[in-house]
Amino acid sequence: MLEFGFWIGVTAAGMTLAAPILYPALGGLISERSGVLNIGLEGLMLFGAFCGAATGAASGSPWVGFLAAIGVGAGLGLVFAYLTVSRAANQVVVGLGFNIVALGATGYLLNRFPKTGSPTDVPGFGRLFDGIADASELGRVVNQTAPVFFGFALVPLVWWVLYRTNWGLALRACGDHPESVDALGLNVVRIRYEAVVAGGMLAAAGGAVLSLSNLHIFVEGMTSGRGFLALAAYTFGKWRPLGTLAACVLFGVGDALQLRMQTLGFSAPFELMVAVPYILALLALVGLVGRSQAPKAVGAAFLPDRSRQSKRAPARDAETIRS
Amino acid sequence: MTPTTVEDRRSRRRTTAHLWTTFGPAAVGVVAGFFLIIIVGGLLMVISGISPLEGFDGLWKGSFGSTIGFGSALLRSTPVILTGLGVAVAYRAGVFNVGAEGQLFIGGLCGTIGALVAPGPAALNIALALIAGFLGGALWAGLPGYLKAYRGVNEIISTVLFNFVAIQVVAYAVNGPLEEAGSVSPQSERLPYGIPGLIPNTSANYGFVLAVLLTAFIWWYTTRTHQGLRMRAVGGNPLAARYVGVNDRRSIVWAMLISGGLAGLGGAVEVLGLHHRLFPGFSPGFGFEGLIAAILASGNAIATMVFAVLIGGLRSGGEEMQRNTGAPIAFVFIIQGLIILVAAGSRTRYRRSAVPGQDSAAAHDAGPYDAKLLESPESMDA
Repeated sequence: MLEFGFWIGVTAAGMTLAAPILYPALGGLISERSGVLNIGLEGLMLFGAFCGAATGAASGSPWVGFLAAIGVGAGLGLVFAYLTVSRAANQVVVGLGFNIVALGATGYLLNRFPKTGSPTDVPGFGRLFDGIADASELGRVVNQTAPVFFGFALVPLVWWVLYRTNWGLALRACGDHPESVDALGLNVVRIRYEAVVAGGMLAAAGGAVLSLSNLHIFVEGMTSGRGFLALAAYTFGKWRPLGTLAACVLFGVGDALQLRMQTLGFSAPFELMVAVPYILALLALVGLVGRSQAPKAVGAAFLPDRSRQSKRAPARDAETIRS
Repeated sequence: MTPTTVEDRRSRRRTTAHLWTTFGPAAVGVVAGFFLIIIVGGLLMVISGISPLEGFDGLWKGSFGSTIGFGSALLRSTPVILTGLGVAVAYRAGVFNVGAEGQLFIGGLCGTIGALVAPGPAALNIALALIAGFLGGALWAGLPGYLKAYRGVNEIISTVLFNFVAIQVVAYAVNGPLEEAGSVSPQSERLPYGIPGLIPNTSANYGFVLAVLLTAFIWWYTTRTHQGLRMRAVGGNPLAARYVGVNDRRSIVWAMLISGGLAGLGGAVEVLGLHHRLFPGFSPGFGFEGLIAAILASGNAIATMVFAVLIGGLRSGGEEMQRNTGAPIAFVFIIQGLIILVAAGSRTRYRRSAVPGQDSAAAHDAGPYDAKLLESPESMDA
């Protein structure tokens, strides 16, 4: 029975820990399906975590913090889209730049809270179903905060948008063959902007889940690689929402398991246990043998109206052909 | 033929374009960096209630404006040069090694073990420790390199994940097997020998000279040897390289081995030259600074070194500024990140008008998922 309770506890904690990876993973998924790889998920999460905690603490409401984080994510997504879509900058380099700026900016802004080194009194989301959790062991799994439920609800929503709407079809086409989207008279640049901004909003929301729902505090560099785990998650999930969900749950449960084993005084050294989610993600990537299923035009910027800007066309052509 | 034929003029024009594509990004990086430091740095100082005059004074004296500052700038830039060279070598082969930080950690760990195990005298001990650091970093990068070349695993994600594992491995080592007996903080035993100092009364050591020599070697290796040409061919277009008989997979693994080895050497030099023992926080992000230097330099070894020295100076100056005025060092990260964004955003401007295929950076703009190009030609149709 102790064994049963142990696994229920791990599953419940695993769901909680999966949510902050799930948000950025879905965001990165949408962005990459449109043809823009976002390595900056980690930095966007960090911004979201900080803004969520700071505005939450200032307003006293976790909802305000959550929405503020999403707003900041949209703004940063716009900057990301400007650089990668309009300026055709190297997507990997811009993403890395975002991560570095995020680390510096949040570290710098923390100095605005001189006494504690962090926003104090960060309000947290409460768990919704304490009654069910008291009534049954299994209830602990569903006794989660509202943003965790949102995160899981986003999976079918994202699936529906990507595979059952015209916008989703156009978005996926932008990721595989932007020229055909352009030929149909749709605006590739605009669709990519929308996808990147949506991705930024989701990544920042994931960070806010971390600081407002899981921990109720902001710590410098608190995302500790979850943005990269999110990248691994949707890669492992083969750029599909359901597979991404499975990967996130796997990483979350793995994380919960190592935390639980630490508290149980399991004999393995805790430093190596901390590395378990990253090792799991690596194994997941290696297990993904062979065919790479990434959207075909990822990384290549698209230049519209090439007939009118013939000067720029050669370099652009060389790139699109290569991809 | 007269020297002013149409062909001649055209080729001269192409050379100018080539020069611009090679050094343009670097120039933009320097100019953007300068203005960002003045404008953003000054703004942040004013917001924090620090006199910009004092702040910039600290920044200058701590980097290139005084002997002590210059020494610490060289000290700070040494691991950045080495990790930067590592990233640059991989970059040339079309691999984005984001894992220099982790390779540096493993290099520091292996260098420490080497120094503790190897016999004296000093020169032999240090040499063996540095070799151990190189090998450790090489293996730590070789694995993601192998996974990219033979299994199609995206190296950007895998090397980042390896970073987190490496940091935990070092934390485990100094809390467990390598822990100094009777020590309160997690750290290794003191190493028997250290790399000797370079400039009297400063913290710079001969590791910097090693880094400069390796810069020259890597420049020669990537631009003047068969192996280097093969690597650049793979970086430019793996399929084309394969059709002219280059073993593209082996070139990728080879590039990653050298890349990780250089980063690992950076870790070993940092431990042997400055701290003389291993502890978990011995690197404040040298691997990522090296990445910045290599990106700004578009993988050119010599430009990478120049940027690494500037970045090292920015850090040592930032530390001096923090001591003098209390301005948080995080400001350095903001500046570094903004320089990257500005350089990346401006790069496309002249690349668009450049001669196609002449830009070394263009290889990367095909996207990180080069793995699909590495699939065998038969499977391309599937």
